[in-house]
Parts: sequence; structure tokens; C-alpha cells
Amino acid sequence: MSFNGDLLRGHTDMILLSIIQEKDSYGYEINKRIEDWTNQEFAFTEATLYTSFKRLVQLGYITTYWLESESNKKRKYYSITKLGEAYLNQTITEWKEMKQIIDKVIQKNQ
Amino acid sequence: MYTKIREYVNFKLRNDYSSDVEEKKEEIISNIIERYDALYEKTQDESYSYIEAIKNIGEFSEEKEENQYKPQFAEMLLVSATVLSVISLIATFLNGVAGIIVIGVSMSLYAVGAMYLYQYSKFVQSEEYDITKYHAFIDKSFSYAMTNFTFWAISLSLIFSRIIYGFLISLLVLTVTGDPEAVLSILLISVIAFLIALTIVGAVFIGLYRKLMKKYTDLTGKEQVITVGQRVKQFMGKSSSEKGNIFLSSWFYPIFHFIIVIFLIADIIHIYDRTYNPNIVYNELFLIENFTLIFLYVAITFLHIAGRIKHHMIVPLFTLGISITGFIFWLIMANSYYISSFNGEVFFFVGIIFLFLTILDFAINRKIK
Repeated sequence: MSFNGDLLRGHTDMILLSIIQEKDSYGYEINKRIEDWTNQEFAFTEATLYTSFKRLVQLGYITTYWLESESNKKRKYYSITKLGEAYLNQTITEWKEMKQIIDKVIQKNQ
Repeated sequence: MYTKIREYVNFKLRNDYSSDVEEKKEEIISNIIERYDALYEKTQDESYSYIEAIKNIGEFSEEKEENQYKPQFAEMLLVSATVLSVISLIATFLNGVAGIIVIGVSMSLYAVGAMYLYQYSKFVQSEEYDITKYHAFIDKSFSYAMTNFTFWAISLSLIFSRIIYGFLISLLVLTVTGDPEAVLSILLISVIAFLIALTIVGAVFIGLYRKLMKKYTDLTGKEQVITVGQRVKQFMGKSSSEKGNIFLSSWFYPIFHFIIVIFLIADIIHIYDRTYNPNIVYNELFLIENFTLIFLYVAITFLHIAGRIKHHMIVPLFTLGISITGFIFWLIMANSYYISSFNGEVFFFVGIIFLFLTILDFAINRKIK
């Protein structure tokens, strides 16, 4: 299957918030999960990740804190806020509605 | 490898002046290091893991990618340009037109060499993700600028003053021919003209140099480039125990001095063979000179081998000093008298070989490993 990363990039905020909603996480771990889901075909660049996280922090959707791992590695963790959860639910609803519309269009054409 | 990652991230964000830039760097570095560790654990390949991990950084600013060039060739162009900039000054003293040609060639070589190195540094940064190399190439492009600009400015000012001098002399010939006071005035005016020209040309070159240095700071994030003069100063300050250079090799001087001594012995034999000729004079003087020099060469070689000479520049300066003095003395004597010694020719070639080795040493030891 050829993979189109641009389709995912359009939904960066929703993807990031969904992962963080499950449990607090940090940049590399988040990207690793995305890579695993896409069979190593896609990962956000550090530039994209950082820019998105910064925007989400400014909007009040996530908060950050530093934690040291067992192997003494410093990691910046992201945690979702109530406001972030509300925004995520809203975007998921929008996505589902959009998906239904697109499914209808595709089925009509098939 | 962690340091290399840190260096790369610091470089990528060198133009980021936001208040949280340090935290941003730490986060990105920690993510890339985790990626690198995971890749290295899987592949055990440092270089591959570094490139794959660093690739994921993305673009924080627009940077154009360029093609590959030959840095060593470019570096030789810069060295040649610098040598020619010095020669241009001598050429200008002898002949204005020759001076202009040499300055022109020097400027062209410098421009081509600097551009080559600049483009190559961009390639190294984008393809090999190697900031140490990138900085080294950029440093090379800029480090020759100061020397070149200084000599170009002096040579060009001299050319302008020569033009004014020539113009005034022709005016003098037409008007007050042979008046010594007028000649003195013209000389004075020429000196003033030179100083004015030097001020103007110097100001232009200082302006250009400052612009170049600003560009250097933008490209590397560093405030100052180490100039050729500073590098020479650093080299002069090295201890004789340090390696990595022809002149600092333990074998070099014993062999080099041995060859010189062989030639001096041959010269002694040559002088002895011709002592019967009454036209040949000062044989004893050259014999004493040769024996003294052989003694000095042997003594300094033994001291060098025994490690008694602490400063590494003493031996080369001794060799160079002997060559220059010996050759000048021989030249004066050969022009005035009929002599049989050929040690002046030996010293001439010793000097040339020494100069050649200096250039070779520069080419070998100044390249990026």
C-alpha cells in the first residue's frame, strides 16, 4: 500500500491529543507509536512535533513536565487538559461526520 | 555521537532567538538521542543510526541544498590567492601593470575557492549532517580573507599612487625639467596620494570584510573566524614534541641536514681541487665557512635528536637563516671575485626545497581529516 503522509499531517492535533489522552507521553514515544501503526512508513519530524505541541500548549489543550527515566534520560512529557479533552472530542465528532460524508460519496461512485 | 547530535541541533537552531530555545533544544536532543539509541541497538551501526536519527529533525528554517564540490582543490585556490596577494605587493613595486594582473588573478582565485568551499560546506551539512566539517569549511573560506584584503588594499593603493606619480612626472618633464625641489614635491605628493588611496581602498575593503564576517556569523553562529595569521601564531607556539607535520617529524632534519652536509663536503673537495689556480681567491674563507656550517649542522642535528631543542621553530629558522645568509654572501663574492665554491647554489636550492616543503606541509596538514 502506498502511504500518503499528507493525509495524516492534516490531522496532527487530533492524532497527538488522542495518544496523549491514553497516557502522558513524550515526543519520541508518540512518534514511535505512529511509526508502528503505519508500518514504519510515517513519522512526524521533530520540527512538526515541536510546533504542534507548542501550539497545543498555548491553546491550553496540553501541559508539560520534565521527568527523568530509569536510564537517566530527561524527557519532556505532555499531559492532556480538560479543555484539550473537550477539543479532542469535538474534532473526533467532526472527523466521524466527515468520514460518513466521504464514505457516502465513495459508495455512490463505486 | 551524543555530542555530534547536540552540535547539530544547536546549529539548526542557531538563528532561533525565542525565550524557550534552550528547552526546545533539550527536548529535541533527547528525542533524537532516544531514536539514535533504538536504531543503534537494532543495527550496531553508529553512522547509519546517527544519519537516520538526525534526518527526522525536519526543517526549522529554509535552507537550500547544493551539490558536491572538491574542497582540497578549493583550498589550494585559497592558498594560491593568498600567496599571490603577497606577491602582488612586490609586483606592484616593480611594475604597476604586473601588479594589477597579479591582484586580478589573486582575487579571482579567492572568489572561486571561497565559493567552492561555501557550496561544499552546504553539501556536508545537508547530506552528511556533520556540523564540525561544515564549520571547518566555512572557517577556511573566511580565514584567508583578512590577509588577502590587507595585501590587495595596499597593492591597489600603491597602483593608484603610481598612476598619480607617473602623471605628475610627465607634467614635470613638460614644465620644470630637472628641478630637484619639484621632484621632491612630486615624491611628497605621491606619498600623500598613496596614503589617501590606502584610506579609501582600505575603508572599502574593511566594509567588505565586515559584511563577510557578518555573513560568517549568520552561517556558523560564531562571532569570530580564526585568521591565517592567528593560525601561524598558534603553530609557532606548538611544542617540538607535537606530531602531525613534516617539520615536526623526528626523521626530517637528520636526513635533510645529512644531504646538505654531503653537498658542503663536495664543495670542500671542489675548492681543494682548484687551489692551484692563482685567479681563484678566498678559498680559505669558503673552506672555513663550509667546515663551520658542517659543524653547526651536525651539532644542531644531534641536539634535535637528543630532544634538547624545545621550540620546534628553531631548527627550520636556523636552516632558513643559513640558506639566505649563505646565498647572499656567495652572491656578493661571486659578483666581485673569481671563486670556486658552489655552496651558494646549494643554499639557493636548500631554500627553494624548504619553501616547497612548507607549501606541501600546508597542503597536507591543513586539510580536513
